[in-house]
Amino acid sequence: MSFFTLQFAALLAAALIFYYALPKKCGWVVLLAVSLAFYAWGGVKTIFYLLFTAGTTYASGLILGRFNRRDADEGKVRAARKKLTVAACVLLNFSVLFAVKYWDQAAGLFSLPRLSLVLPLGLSFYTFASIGYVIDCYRGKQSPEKNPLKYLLFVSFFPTVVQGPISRFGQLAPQFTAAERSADNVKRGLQTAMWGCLKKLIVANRAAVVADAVFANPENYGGAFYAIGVLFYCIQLYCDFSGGIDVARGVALTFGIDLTENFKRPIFAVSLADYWRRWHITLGTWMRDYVFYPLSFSRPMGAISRFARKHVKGKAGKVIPTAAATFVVYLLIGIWHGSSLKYIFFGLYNGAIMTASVLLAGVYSSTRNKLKINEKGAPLHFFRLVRTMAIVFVGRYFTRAPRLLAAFAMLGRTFTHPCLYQLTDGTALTFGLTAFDFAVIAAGVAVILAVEFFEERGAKILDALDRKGALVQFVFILIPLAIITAQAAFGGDAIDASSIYRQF
Amino acid sequence: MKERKKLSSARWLVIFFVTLVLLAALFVPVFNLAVDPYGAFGDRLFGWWSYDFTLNPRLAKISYLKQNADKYDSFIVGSSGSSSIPVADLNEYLGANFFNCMFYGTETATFEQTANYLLTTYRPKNLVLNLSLMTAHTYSVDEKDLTNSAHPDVSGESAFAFYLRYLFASPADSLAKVKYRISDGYLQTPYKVFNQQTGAYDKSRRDAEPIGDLGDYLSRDAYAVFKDYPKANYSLYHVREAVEAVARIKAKAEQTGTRLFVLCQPTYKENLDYFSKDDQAAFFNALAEVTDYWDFTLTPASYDPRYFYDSTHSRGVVGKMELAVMFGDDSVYRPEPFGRYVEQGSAPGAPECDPLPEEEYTATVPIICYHQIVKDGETNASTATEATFESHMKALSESGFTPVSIYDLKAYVENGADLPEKPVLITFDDGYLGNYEIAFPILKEYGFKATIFAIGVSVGKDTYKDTGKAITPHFTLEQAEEMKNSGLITVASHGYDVHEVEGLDAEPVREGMLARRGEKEADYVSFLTADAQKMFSLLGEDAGFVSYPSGKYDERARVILREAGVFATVTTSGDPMNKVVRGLPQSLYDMGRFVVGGDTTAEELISGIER
Amino acid sequence: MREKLIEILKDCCPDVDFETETSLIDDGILESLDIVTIVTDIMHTFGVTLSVDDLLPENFNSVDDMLRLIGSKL
Repeated sequence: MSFFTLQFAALLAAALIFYYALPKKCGWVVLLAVSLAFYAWGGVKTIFYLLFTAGTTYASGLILGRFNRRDADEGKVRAARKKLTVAACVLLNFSVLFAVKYWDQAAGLFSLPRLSLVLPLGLSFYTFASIGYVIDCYRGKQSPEKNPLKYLLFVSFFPTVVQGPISRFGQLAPQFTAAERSADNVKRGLQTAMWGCLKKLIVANRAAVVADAVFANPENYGGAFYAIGVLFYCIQLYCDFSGGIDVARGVALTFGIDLTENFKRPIFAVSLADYWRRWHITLGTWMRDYVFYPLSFSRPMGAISRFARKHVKGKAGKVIPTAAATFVVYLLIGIWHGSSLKYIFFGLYNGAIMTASVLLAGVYSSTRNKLKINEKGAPLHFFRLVRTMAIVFVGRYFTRAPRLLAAFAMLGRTFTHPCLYQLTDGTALTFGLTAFDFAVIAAGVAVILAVEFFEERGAKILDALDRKGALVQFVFILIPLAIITAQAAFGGDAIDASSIYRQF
Repeated sequence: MKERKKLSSARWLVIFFVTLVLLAALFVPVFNLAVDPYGAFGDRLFGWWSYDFTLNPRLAKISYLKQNADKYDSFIVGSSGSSSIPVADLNEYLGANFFNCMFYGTETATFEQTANYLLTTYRPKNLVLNLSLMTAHTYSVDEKDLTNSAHPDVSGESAFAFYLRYLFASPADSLAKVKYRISDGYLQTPYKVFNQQTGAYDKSRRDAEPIGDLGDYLSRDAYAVFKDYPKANYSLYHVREAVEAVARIKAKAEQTGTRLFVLCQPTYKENLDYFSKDDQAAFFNALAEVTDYWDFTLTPASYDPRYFYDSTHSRGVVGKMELAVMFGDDSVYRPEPFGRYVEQGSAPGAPECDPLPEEEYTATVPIICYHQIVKDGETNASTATEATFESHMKALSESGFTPVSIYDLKAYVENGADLPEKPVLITFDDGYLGNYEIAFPILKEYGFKATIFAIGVSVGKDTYKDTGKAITPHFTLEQAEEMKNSGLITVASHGYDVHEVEGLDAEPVREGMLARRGEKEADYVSFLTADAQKMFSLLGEDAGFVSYPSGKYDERARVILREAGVFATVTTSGDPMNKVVRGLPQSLYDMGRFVVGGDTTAEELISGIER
Repeated sequence: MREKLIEILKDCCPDVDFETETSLIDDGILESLDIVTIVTDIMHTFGVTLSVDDLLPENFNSVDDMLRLIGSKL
C-alpha cells in the first residue's frame, strides 16, 4: 500500500481511532495489527519473508542473550558459539536478501537459471534493522526482547517498513509502550506528514515525468537534456524519498512515536562525507556501526594498519586502514541499492572519492594555507557546496540510467553533444508537462529551498508557526489540505468528451 | 519563560479535522454539482448544453427539455443517424417546433423508453421515429455508467442512486469541462458536437467542407474508409422485440394525440450488405405488420460516399431529400426512385435499388477568372485587351460552351434543374470599370452570362479608401444595377473591406479573409460576419457568391461565411474543372478557377477547359 | 600521558580545541573516520586494545573521557 492513497488515509484514520480509544498499554497491539494489515495488503504471500526474518532474528536475540548472561556468570567461554549464532542468522537472512534481490543478476552473468522471486516490500530495510538488533544483542548493548509480538512490531512497523528510516531497536521499541501521547505530537505529526505529501504529490510526481521521458528514450535528446533529466531526477528523488520519510515520521508521531531523522538538508552538504551524513542518514549510521567500526578494528585491518605505518611515511600511513574500510562501506552502499553493475560502480565512485578525500586531507589543508584561503570564509563554503553538488550530480547518472554503459554514454554526451537548441525549441513541452507544471515545480523547489535554508541556520519553522494566531494556522491547514485533496481528486483520468463521439 | 501559544494543539486538531472533512466530503460533490458535465443537475451555472449533450445525450437532452419545454412541440427519436433529418425543414413542412432527441446507440428499448417519456410528459404534436436495421440487432444494453445513464424520470431508476452517482463521479470530468470552456473557440470541436437549439449534431464545419470529384474525396483521411469498406455480418436477433416496441410507441402516440412518422434511415450500400437479404426482408415485413412507414434504406444515394459524413451516417442533405419525398416537395432534388412508402399490412420485402450513373447527377463546370479588361495597351496575367477578350468569347461560342450563372448551378444542385451540355462560368475579380465599359458590351453581344466579384469599399472608387492613393477605377453601384438588369450579370462579393494593402493599411495587415496576426477570435468572427452582411446590404442575394480575396481562406473563414449565408465560393487555384453534384450544395464551395489574362491565347483557353 | 593524547588528537584534527571541548561526539565535531584514526593511534601509542564496544559517546566526548578509557584498559 502506498502512503499516498485513499486506502492508507482510511487505514490511518482507523488506526488512530482505535489507538486512542484503547488504553495506553494496548496501543502497541493496535500498531501491530495495522502493520500486519498494511503489509499483507501488498500481497499476502510476501509476508512470509517478513515473518522469516523476524522469527530468525528474534530467536538469535534470545540465544545471544542467554549466552551473554552465562558469560557474566561463567566468564567468556562462549565467544565462538556467540559468533556462530550471529553468523548463522546473518547468513540466513542475507541469503534470502541475495536470492530475492541479487540472484537473477548474478545468474545472468554465469548462465544459471533465474529464480524471478517477487521482491517483498521493504526487504532491504527491515532486514538491516533486524540484523542490527542481532548484532546489538551480540555486543550486549541490547537485552533481547522476550515478547515475539512486540519484536514483530519492531520489524514490521508500518511507517518504517517500506522505505525506512532503518530503526534501532533500543531507540524505537521502548516507545511502543511509553509513547508520548499528546495533542502537540498529533499536530506535529500531521504537519510533517502534510509537508511530505506536498513534496511528493506536487513536486516529485511532476519532476518524474521529465526524468522518465529522458531516460526512457535518450536517443531523442541531446546532452543538455540529459543534464536536465538528471537534475529533475535529483529533484524527484529528494522530494519523493524525503517526502515519504516525512510522512513516515509524521504518521509515527501521531502515535507519539519519534523516528530518527533520515534527511538533514543534503543540498547544504560541503563535502561528499558531509552529504552522506545528511542523505539516507540511517543507512550511513548502520554501515558505520555494523560495518565500518567492526571492520576498522578487525584483526586483518589491524595487520594492514601496522604494515602501513611501518612502510608508508607520514599521515598517509595512519590513514590507509580507514581509507580501505571507507571504500568497503561505500561499495556495500552501492550494492545495497541494487544488483545491477551500475550500482556497484556507484559504490566504487563514492568509495573512491571518499577514500581520496581521506588520503588527501593533508594536501587540502596545506593548499588552503598556501593560498591563504580562509577556512571559515564564504567563498570556500560556496566552492565546497558547488563541488559537492557536482559530485552527487554526476553520481546520479549512474543510479538513474538503465545500465552502466548507458550511464557513461549519457555522461559523455552531456558534454560532447549538448544540442543546446533543444532548450529553446519547445522540446521541454513534449514530456507531458505544461508550462504551468514547470512553474509549479519551480515554485515548489523554491519553497523547499527557502524552508531548508532557514532551518539550516537554526530556525524552527513549525515552532514559529505555532506562535501565530488561529487565522494564520487555518490558512496553513487549508492550503496543504486543499492542494492534497485537489491532487487526489483530479489525479484520476477524466472521461474525455472528445473521444466519446468518435465511437459513434 | 515559554511564550504561550495563541492556539492550543487541541484546537488546531479540531480545525484540521473539520477542514479535512469539509474538503473531502463536500468539495467533490459541490464541484460536480456546479460544473455538471453530464447535465444531470440541469447545468444551471454553465448552461453549456452542447458539451453536456456530447458526454451523455440521453441524459442531458432530457434535462435540457425540462427547462426549455415551451420552445418545442415535436420530437425526433432515434439513433445518431437521426441527426441528418433537418429540423428547420421539418418545422416548415409541419408548422411545428422540433427538438431532435437522438442519442448514441441503436437500441430500440431505449428509443421506446425515451419516446414513452416524451409522449407522456409533453404530449407533443408530432413524433418522428427514425429506425434502421441495426435497431433489430441489439435490443437493449443495460449499462449504468456516467455516459449512458438515462434520467431517472425516463428509466425509472431510483433518483437517489442516480444523483449519488453523479455527485460523487470523478471530479476530473468536471475539471475537463472547465478547462475546455476556458480554451473554447468558435469552431465546432469533438467535445461539443451538438447544436443546443435543435439537438442535432453541429455540422457547421462538416457542411462547409468543399466536395467535388469522387477520387479527390476518397483521398481525404476522413473518407478513406470507403476505399476499403470493412466487411461484417450482423444477424438480426431482435426483430420481434424491436417491432413490438414500435407498436407500443404507436399505440401510445395514438393515446396522446401525437402524429407519428416512422422512418428507416438511409444506409450506405456496403453497410446494408452486413445484413442478409432474408434478415432484411424479415425486418421490413415485420415492421409493416405494425405500422405504415417510410423506408429510405436503399436509394441511389446509398451508392455514393459523397452523400455520407462517414461510413454509417448520411448527410443532412439526404435528410432533406427524405423530407421532400414525405411532404411532396418537388422543388428539392432527389435521385429517383428515392425511398418507398410502405403501408401497414403489406409485405415490402428487402429494398431494391440500382445506382444512378454518375453522369446523371454530376456535371463538370470549368470556371474562368479574369480581372481587368482594357481597350488596348499593356497586358499581363491579369489584364487582357478588348481584342483578346473578344477572341476568347468567340472561341467559347464556337466550341459550343454555354456560359452559366451561379444560380444555374444552384438550381442544378438544389432543384434538379438541368445544365447545358458544355457549361462554363465566366468570372471577373475586383469589379473594375473596364469590366463594365469593355467586357459587358461584348458579353451582351454573345448573350453570355458572367459573374463579377466587386470589392465593397472600392465600388465606384478610383482612390484607395481614404488614403487618396490612385487605383484602377471600379464601376459604380448604378452601373452594377444596369448589368444585373440585363439578366446576364451577377455582381457578387469579393469582400467588403478585406483587400488590405501593405503600406496603405495599418499593421498588421489583414491578408484576405483571414484573421490578422494576434487578432482575437471573437473580434475576427464578428468582423468577417459584418463584412459579409455589408455585402448583402450592398448587392442583395448575389453576395451569397464569394470570391476569396487573394485566394486566401481557411476553415474558420469558410464556416463564418456559410453561417452568414454564403452558398458558393471560388478560389484562384485548384482544379478549374469543378465537379458539381446534384443534391450536394457543398460542391459549390471552394471551386477552382483557370486564371486568364492578356497572355492567354484563345486556343490555350479552350484547351484549358476542355478535358 | 595527557600530552601524548593531545598530540594524537591534534595530529588528526588540528583545528579542534581539544582542551575545552566536552561534546566532541555529541556535537559531531569528531566524525567516524576521525574516531577510527584516533583509536588506532591510541592503541598503537599506548599499547591498549580497544574494540567496537568501547565506541560510546561518553568515552570520547572530551579529553578527560578518553584518558579515563585508556586508564581502564591498561
